Amino acid sequence: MGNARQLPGQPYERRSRLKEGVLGLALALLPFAVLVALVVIPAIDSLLFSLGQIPKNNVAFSTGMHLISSPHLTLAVYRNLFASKYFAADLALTLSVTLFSVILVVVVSYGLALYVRFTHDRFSRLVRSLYLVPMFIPIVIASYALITFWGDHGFLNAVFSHLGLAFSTPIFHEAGIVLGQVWQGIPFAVLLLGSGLDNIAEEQIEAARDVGARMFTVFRKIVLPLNLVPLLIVTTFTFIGVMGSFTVPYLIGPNAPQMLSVEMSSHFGDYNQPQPAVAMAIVTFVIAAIAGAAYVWGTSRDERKSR
Amino acid sequence: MSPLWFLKVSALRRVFGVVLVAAMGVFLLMPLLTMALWAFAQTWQYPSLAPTVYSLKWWAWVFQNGDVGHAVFYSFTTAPVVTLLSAVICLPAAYAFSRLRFPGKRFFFVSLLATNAFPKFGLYISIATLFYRLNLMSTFVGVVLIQLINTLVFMTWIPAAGFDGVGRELEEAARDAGAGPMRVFFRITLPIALPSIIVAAVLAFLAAFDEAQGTLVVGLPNIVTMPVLMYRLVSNYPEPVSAVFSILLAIPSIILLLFARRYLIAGYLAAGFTR
Amino acid sequence: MPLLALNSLVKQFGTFRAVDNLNLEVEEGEFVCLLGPSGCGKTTTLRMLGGFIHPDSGDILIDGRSVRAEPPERRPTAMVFQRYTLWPHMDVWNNVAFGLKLRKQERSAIDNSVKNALKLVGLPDSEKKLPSQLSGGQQQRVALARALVLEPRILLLDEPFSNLDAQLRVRMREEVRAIQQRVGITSMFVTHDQSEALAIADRIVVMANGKIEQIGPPAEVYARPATLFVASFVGTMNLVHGVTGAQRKFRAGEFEGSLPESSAAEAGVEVVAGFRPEDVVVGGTGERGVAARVQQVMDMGHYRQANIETSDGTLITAYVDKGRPLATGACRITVRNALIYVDGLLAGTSTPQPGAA
Repeated sequence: MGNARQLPGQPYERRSRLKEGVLGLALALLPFAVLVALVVIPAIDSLLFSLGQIPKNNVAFSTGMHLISSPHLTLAVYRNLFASKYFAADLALTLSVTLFSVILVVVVSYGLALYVRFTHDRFSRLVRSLYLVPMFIPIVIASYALITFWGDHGFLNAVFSHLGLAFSTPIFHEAGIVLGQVWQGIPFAVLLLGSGLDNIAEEQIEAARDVGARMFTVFRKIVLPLNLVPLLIVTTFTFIGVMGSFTVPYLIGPNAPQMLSVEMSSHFGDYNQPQPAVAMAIVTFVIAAIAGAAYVWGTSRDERKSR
Repeated sequence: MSPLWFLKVSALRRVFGVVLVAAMGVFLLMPLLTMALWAFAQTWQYPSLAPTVYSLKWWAWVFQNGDVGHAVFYSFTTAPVVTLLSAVICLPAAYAFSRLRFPGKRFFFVSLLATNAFPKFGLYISIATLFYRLNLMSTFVGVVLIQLINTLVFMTWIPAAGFDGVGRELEEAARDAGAGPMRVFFRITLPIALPSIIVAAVLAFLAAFDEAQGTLVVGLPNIVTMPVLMYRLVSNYPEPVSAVFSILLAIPSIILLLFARRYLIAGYLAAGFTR
Repeated sequence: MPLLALNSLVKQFGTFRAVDNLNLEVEEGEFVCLLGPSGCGKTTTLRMLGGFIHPDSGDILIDGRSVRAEPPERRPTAMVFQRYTLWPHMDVWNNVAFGLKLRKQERSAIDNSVKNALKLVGLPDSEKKLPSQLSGGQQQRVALARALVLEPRILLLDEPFSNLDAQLRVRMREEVRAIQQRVGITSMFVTHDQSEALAIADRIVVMANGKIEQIGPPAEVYARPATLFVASFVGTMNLVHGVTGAQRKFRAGEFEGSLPESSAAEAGVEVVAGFRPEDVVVGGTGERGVAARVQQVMDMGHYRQANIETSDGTLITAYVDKGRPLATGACRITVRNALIYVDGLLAGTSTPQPGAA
């Protein structure tokens, strides 16, 4: 008995699994802690504020105008918000811009990704370099550049007038916001969709052609179904990004209606009405969270399938 | 060697290629070029297609402006600090997400998405009040923390996929040869996962460098970075000033573009998000 | 008129000539094998036939009609690929029916065709399975069914078994051959495995460097390889270098013999004598033959292999029946029949004798 060697048995394995679990948890908690401190707690503060709880030590919140205060949680702020005319128009604009932006980004980026995947000449190499450009231009600069190019009496306007054509600027209109979002959203979308296309073996495409499928059928029945997860990711992330974006609508958007993030900022700053501002933030978050949930559902379904 | 079935006739294909590249050039590049031209313009009246009078005087103005120097200094000090801090906080977590088993893994991983989902402006307002209480308003640390938020997803998701890509056999072979866990990590795992980490670092740096809203809320009046200054310049000064400043602001981004292009196209970004 | 004619096909990639002026005719119902090492041009030829690569020059005629300009979806060919053959997001039924649905056939007709095709490849009742639920061999059978269900004029097979394990490979190739004969479909099969080609082809086309080295039935290609390349590539061959001498004789290693009648008579020309291991007779030291030493004996199951070294250092492989005595040590070897190669081409046969010391 005294000479028995320690065999790897259950208690040893359980201990090392426990150590692994504790270590993993500790490491993962680092960024999570930053998240909680800088995002979750302020977000909860905001939520409570929007539900009528005025924090006493918060100067920015407590000195606002038209504050609704209540001993218990109340939806009064939200009721006022939804009843107001400006909010309905803003929400409609925000959703409309987001929808159009997502559709355009997906269509344009998918087209570019397909072109690069199936063509191998010097033009497709050029395209590969070009589509990354917006990723590295700060959005402030990009917005400004788009204004000088597309704006009234801008470069494009000058070209059109030389050609004798009429020109109507999208800048300071809804179309301008969509323009800016699409410009900015292309690189991420093309990279992700392109990577998904790369994962489709050439033989699968050839086999489809071999049995007689033309280009569009191959796309519809083979490429599209095999590239669904990247498509889901591009759609949800672009949706969330456009919904919450500030710079592009601020610089390029119309004065009214405005996208919710700009409206939030005006209410908080210029109008000194922090409560509706925060309520708008919560509403935007809820909508974005739905898209986020779609992403989680879609990717974990895929992960479970491939196990 | 893939068959060129997308467009059958080769001449048509070339035409399509030219048209596509031209359209992309116009859509993506021309706005940047016209703005760059503004940087060298003294007078540019509509409907002229180019500046009528060129001048470098606005460059001189920008370089002599104290505000600009101040903003450049803070931009180039906050962004690297943020990237480093982000790396220290997130890379170990990325390794844990890839290699270790622990409860709630998927939850913690996906929760970082919340940094993107909550509309930034609403967040910054709330954070500002928190910083007031902690005396972090208008301080370097405060700005660093605000910029840190945008980097968390990049610095965790992308390197996690990078670590995934290091075959366990490689680590096991090193252990077999006598290396301890730390040595295996620094000599085997990290070097192989390096391209992913580079992509993540580049994207994190740019996220911090370009961050404007939060820095605006938290940094003023003491800490002003280049993007924040840009907002002010656009509204208060003639076009050439903003154009000059834009070029300055874009330079680090473009340098990083040329450096990281290879890694981006190689799919490390996509691997991180499809994990 | 042959069913398939490849006329002067050329394909170049940069400076590399993958297929160099290839001419081939295939009759209806034939099972032709393109055999050769990697890079010999066999897969390029097959893919040109399928329409996935465009030839630089030359023509492809099926039933006398040029199909060179037609894309894969219009050609009367069907391909079974080497890997990633089935679409992972469709079940077996949809994989096989895909082409039929494109041709807008009626559901009941499609159902019937799919059922028959699956029965033909030995996978009845598998319609609802997903590719991930099938083994490698089963997946390739479904791929075969998918190709056959369209009743193509030519069936193309691109090393479809190279990813399967050895025993399965042997079974599958025999089954494919049986199916092909039953259906009578003209087929072209690419492989680098010469035993595979020998086992199932009607004719073998041996290729190297983009050119055809020899075309012929397996027995002929094995027994009378036309070039030195074919001799060394198909089966195992002992090759001994030598030189011609006076009076139409040659000497190669420890052997000498008479040159075949068809070859020219000068002396001093390099020759190579080739003989199969099964044509080497290993005898005891008392018998006639070239003095040699058995260095190693390997038991291969139904025969034994002897690695032998002659007194001048030439290494020779011999196959010996299970029943006959064989041990390491000194021995004497004779060769029943040798192929004589001059300038890389087969000149004829000869029966070599032990040479004078």
